[in-house]
Amino acid sequence: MRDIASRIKETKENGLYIECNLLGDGTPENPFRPEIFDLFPEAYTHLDTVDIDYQNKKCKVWVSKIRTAKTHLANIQKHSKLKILKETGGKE
Amino acid sequence: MAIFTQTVTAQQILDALTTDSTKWAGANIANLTKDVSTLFYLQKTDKQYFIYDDFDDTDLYDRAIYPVIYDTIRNGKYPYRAIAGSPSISSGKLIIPADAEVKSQIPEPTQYGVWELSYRNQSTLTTNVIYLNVFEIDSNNRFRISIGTSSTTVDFTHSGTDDTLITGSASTDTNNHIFKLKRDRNGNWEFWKDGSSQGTATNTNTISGDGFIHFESFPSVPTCEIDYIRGW
Repeated sequence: MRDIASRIKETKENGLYIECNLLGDGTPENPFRPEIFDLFPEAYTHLDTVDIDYQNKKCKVWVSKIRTAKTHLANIQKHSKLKILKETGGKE
Repeated sequence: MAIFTQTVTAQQILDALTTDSTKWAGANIANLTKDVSTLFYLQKTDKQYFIYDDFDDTDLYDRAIYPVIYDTIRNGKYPYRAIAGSPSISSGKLIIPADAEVKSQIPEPTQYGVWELSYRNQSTLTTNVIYLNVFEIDSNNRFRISIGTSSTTVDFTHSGTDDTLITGSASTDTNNHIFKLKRDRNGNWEFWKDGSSQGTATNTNTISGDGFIHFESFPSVPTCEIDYIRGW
């Protein structure tokens, strides 16, 4: 089994770093989660919880350009609720 | 067990285990119990599991998990307990109907490693959620795989705050699914469904204490089956 760190590295080297709203209230019924999880549950993401701003209800998430379907990637890039902060690994 | 069709005695298993003593260094052979299929699986795969159960036993309350910790096989007896509803074991599967809970104690070191479960809904999930807590200290400190109507997620509750770390495709159908969750000691997490990685996360919060496996279904969800759970 490949180690997780190398897969995280792959995502950060070939990904979109996006900012979105933080949904939820931290209860089991409504856990804190980046809005992209609800919008695109099948997007391949890496979430580092240090990127969660609980106070301002914002968070940053990496989206893998390699492991996310192209149709989802296109929709993520133009979605009004998702702000792209950085792109790595060349333009899609 | 499916991989094992030959009839052998417990003594033959013990003989096989003791043939290669380096493989089983530290194992307390005298403490091995008589679950031949489990022992054979452990020997056959040469994998050191801290949790292993294929639910081939038919008694929910008397089913043991055999923890393998620090290369020592302990004669652990960790019976499942029905907390709510009517969970049962049938045809080699743990059966969890709607609105039911079942749990079993596991040792503390198992909060790091890899958990693998074979899971199936008997009918389509259309409402509510099914929680597969693979490590739970209490309701404020646990992590689990959540089977919801729109996604399959990994949730981590620490000090009472519940975060979704990873989200993957929905598992609402009646196909068998293999879920695998890995958590390493650096706070990295990864979740696979049917052999395909669904995402990663980093959360370095820690929880500590004696833990449980805890499966929990909500009202109006389909009956679900767990064919096996393994941890290593």
